[in-house]
Amino acid sequence: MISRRFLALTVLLLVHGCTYSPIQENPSPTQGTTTRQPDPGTSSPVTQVPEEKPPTRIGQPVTKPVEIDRERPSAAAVQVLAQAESSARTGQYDQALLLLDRAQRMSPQAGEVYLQMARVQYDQRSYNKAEQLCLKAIALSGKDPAFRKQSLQTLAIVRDAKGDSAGAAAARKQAAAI
Amino acid sequence: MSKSRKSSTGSRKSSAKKSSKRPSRWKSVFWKFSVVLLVVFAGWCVYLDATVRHKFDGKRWQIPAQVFARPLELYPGVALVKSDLQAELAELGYERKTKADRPGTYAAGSYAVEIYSRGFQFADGNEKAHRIRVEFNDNTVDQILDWSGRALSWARLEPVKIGGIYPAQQEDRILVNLEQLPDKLEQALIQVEDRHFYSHYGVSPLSIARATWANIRAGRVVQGGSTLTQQLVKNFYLSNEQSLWRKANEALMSLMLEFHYDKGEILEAYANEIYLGQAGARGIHGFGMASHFYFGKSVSDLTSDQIALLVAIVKGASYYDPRRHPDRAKERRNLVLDQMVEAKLLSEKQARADKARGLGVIPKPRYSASAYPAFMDVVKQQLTRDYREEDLESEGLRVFTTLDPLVQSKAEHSLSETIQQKEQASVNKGLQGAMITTAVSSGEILAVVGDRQADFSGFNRALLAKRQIGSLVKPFVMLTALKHSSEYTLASPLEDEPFMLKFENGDEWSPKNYDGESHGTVIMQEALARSLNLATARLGLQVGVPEVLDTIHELGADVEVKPYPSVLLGALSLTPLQVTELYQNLISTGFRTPLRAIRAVTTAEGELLSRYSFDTEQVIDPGIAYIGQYGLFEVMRSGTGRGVYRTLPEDYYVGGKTGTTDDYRDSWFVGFNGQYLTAVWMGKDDNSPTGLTGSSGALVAWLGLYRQLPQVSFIPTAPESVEWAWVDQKSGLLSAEHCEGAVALPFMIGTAPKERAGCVDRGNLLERWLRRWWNS
Repeated sequence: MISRRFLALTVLLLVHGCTYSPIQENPSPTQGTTTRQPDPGTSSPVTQVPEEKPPTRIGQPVTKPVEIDRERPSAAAVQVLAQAESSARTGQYDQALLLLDRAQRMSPQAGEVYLQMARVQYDQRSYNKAEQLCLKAIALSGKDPAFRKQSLQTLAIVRDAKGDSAGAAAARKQAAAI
Repeated sequence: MSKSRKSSTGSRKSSAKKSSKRPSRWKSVFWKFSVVLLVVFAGWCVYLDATVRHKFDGKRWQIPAQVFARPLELYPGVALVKSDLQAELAELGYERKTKADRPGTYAAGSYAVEIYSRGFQFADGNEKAHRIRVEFNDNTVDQILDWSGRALSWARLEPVKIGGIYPAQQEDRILVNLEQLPDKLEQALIQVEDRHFYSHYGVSPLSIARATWANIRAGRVVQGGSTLTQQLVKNFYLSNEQSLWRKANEALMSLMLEFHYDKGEILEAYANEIYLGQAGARGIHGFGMASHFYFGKSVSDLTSDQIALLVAIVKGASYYDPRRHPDRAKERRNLVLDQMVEAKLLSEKQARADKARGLGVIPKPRYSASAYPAFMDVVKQQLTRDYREEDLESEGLRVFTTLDPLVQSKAEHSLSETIQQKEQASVNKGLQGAMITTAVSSGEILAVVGDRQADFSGFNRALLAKRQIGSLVKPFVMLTALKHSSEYTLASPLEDEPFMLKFENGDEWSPKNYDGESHGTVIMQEALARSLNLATARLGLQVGVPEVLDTIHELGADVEVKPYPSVLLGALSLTPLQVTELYQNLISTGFRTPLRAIRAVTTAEGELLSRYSFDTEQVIDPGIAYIGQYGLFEVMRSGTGRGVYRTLPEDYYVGGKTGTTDDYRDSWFVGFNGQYLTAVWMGKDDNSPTGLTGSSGALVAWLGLYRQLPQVSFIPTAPESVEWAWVDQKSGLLSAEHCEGAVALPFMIGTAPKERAGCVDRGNLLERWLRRWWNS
C-alpha cells in the first residue's frame, strides 16, 4: 500500500513536471526577444528532418505565448537616438536618418525609433512617410497608454500638415480618450 | 636655219645651266622634303601633345563602383559569437597577433577580442582607426571598451568589400594619392625601376645604353631601359607592341609628359596605372587595389616585406604571380629587399627578418571572383533604378549594401549541403535551390543564394525562377478571411470535406488533401497548421479568389494570374525573392516594407548621393495581421513544421510555412525567428518531380541555417485591438485554460466565441485518477 502511494505521489510529481511550460518562464515583460546563440562547436549545417505527413491531431494544448507590454530601446539605441536628434536639430537629416536606421537594427520593436523617424520625415515635409511611421509607432505601443497617446498626438500634427484635418481630428480624439 | 642654230645654242646653254644647277636642285628638294617632314613631325608632336594632355588632364581612369557589405556593428547585448567576429576579421584581412598594435590587427583571448580597426570613409562620415576591446558573455557582446578602459555604447568595423561594377574593359583599381602611398613603397619603386627618376626628363639615354649593352651581351632582352615615365606612357596611352615606331612615340610622349607635369603627378599616375595582377577577366591595376588583392588591406597598412613583394610584381605580374609562382615571387621579393637595404630604406637586420617570412598572400578575395553573384544581381537591379550604367562603371561610387557575409556563408553552406544530401536519392538528381534571408524588422536583404554552387554566376534562381508556390499561399487565404473579423476568426470551424467544382467549359476541379483523407470539421488554426487543402479551398471560395489575390497584391507581390480556384492551393508562380517579400510583409503586423539591398551610395570622396532608409506603409489592420501571423507559429509547434522542435529548444519561438507542389516539383519553406526571415526553394530546373515535400527538403536547409544563427524568439508586440481567449480546439467554442483540448488563440476584441464548450477539467481528471489509485 505504501509503495503504491509512493508511486502515486511520484506520478503526481512527474505529471506536474510534464505540464510545466517553459513558455511561461520566458523573458521579463519588457524584453521583446529572447536571444541565444547556438553552440558553434555542436551545430551542424544540415539536420535531418524526417519526411512527415501532416499530423493527425493537433499537438499539445497550446499555452498563450509570452506577451510583452512593449519593447523599449536598449541603452545603446537610446544613445544613437540622442545622436540622431541632435543631427536633426542641426538640419543634418540624412545623417539623422542613417543613425535612426542604426537604432532600428538595435531595437527593432521600440516605438521610439519609428516616432523619431516620423519627426525627421515631418521636418523634411515628407508627410506621407511621417504618417506611416507614426502608425508603426502606434502599432508598437502595446499596453503603454502614455506612448500611444504621444504617438497619436504626433500623428495628428502630421495629418494637419498634410491637410488631412479629419484624420488629425480622429487621432486627437483617440489620444484624448486615453 | 639661224633660228635653228640659235635654238641649238640655246639648248646647249640650257644643258650647261642644268648640269651646273643639279646639286642645288637636289639640295632644294632635300630642303623642301625636310620642311615637309618637319611640318609633319611638328604636326605629329602637336597631336601627341594634345593626346598626352587630354587624357592626363581629364578623367584618367574609369573607376568601377565599389560595393561593400554591411559593417559589423558591435554594441552591448548584440547576439554575436566570438568565432563569427573572428571570421569577419579574417574576411577583412586582419592579422591575428598577440597584441593589436597597429591598424588591421587583432588579438583574441578566451573571452575578449582586441581590435585595432582601420580608418574608413563610411556613408555617414569618416571614422579614424581606433583600438577597442570586445568582451563576450556566452554568446552575446557583454561590453566594448576603448583603449583607456572607457565603456563604449557602440562600435563598428569597416565593411568587407564584396565586389564592384565593372566596365567592359574590366580594369579594377582603387585610386590612391601620393600621400597615401607609404614612403618606402615610393622609394623602393624608384630604387628598383628607375633610380634616376628625379633627374631625367622622361627618357634616360644612359639607362637605354646600359640596357642595350646588357642585352647585346646576353644575346636576348634581359634588361629594359624604360624610365617610370616611359612605362606609364606605354601603359596609359600606347600598346604593348614591340616596334621602333611605338618606342619613338613613347619617348616623345614621355618628354612631353615631363614637360607639362611634375614628378609627383607622374609618380601618382604610375602608382594607379601599373598592372599588378589578374582576377578572372579583370585586371588589377595600381598599388591601392593590389594591396587589397594580395594582402586584404589598405596600401597604407603594408609592411616592408609586403611592399617589397608589390614592387617585385611590377616587373611581370603574371610571371611573378605570388599565388601561382610563389618561389619566383619570393626570389624577386628578396632581391627587392636587398635593393631596399642598398638604398638605406631598410636595415640589414630588418631585411633578414623580412626574407625569412613567407609571402603572406591571402587566398584570392571572394569579391575578386564575383563571389556573391546572386546578391550583386539584386544590388544592380536596385542601383540601375537611380544611376546610369556608365556612372556605376566609371565614377568610383561607393555602394553600401545590406549583405551580411556571416549569414550569407552559412546560408550557402546549408543549401549546398542539404542538396548534396538529398541527391543521394536518385529521384533528386539534378536538384537545385535558392535561399534568401532578410532582417525581419527592416526588410534588409542579408543573404541571397541563387544556385547550389553559390559563386556560380549563371541563372539566378532567387530572382528569376518563377515557380508554383503550393501551400505557401494558405496563410494569405486565411488572412483574407480574417479581414472579415466579424465572420472569421482562427477558431472558425471549417469543413475539411471533398467537393467538386464544375466549370462552364466542362472542366472539373476536385482538390484532395496531401494524405488523401478528409478530416471533418476543423478550426481555421488547425487547417493552417496541418496545411489542409480541402478546408482552405472551401474557405477561399467563400471569401472569393479575387479578394485573396488582392491581399497578395497588398502585401507586395505583383502577380498576373486569373482568379481560378486552383490559386487557393498555390497554382500561382512567384520567384523566391517575391515569396520573401510577401512573407516579410505578412509577419510585419500589417506594414508593408520594401526589401532593400542598399543602404547608401556616396561619391568616391565620400559625399552622400543616395540614402535608402527604412520605409513602411500600413496595408492591413495590425490586429488582424497579428492574428494571421500567429497561425504560422502553430505550423511549427504542431503542424507540418513541427519536426524542427526535435532540434530547436521548446522555448524558442519560430514561425513558418511549408509548401509542396504537385508531384513534388517544388519544395518550399519560409520560416522566421525574431531577427531573420528566410525563404528556401528546392526543385529542378526542368520542373521534373523531386520526391521532396516542403518539410523534407527546403525546411531541412532552413533548419541547417537557423541552428547556426542567433536564436532570437519572435515575440511581436500585440496591438491593443487584440485579446486572447481559450477555445476548444475541436469545436472552436469558448473554453477555459484548464479544460481538456483548450488552446489559447488571439482574437480581435469582441470576436472571440461566446458559446461555451463542455469542459472536462484537465486537473480534475488527473486528481480523480490519482485519488482512485491512492484509495484502491
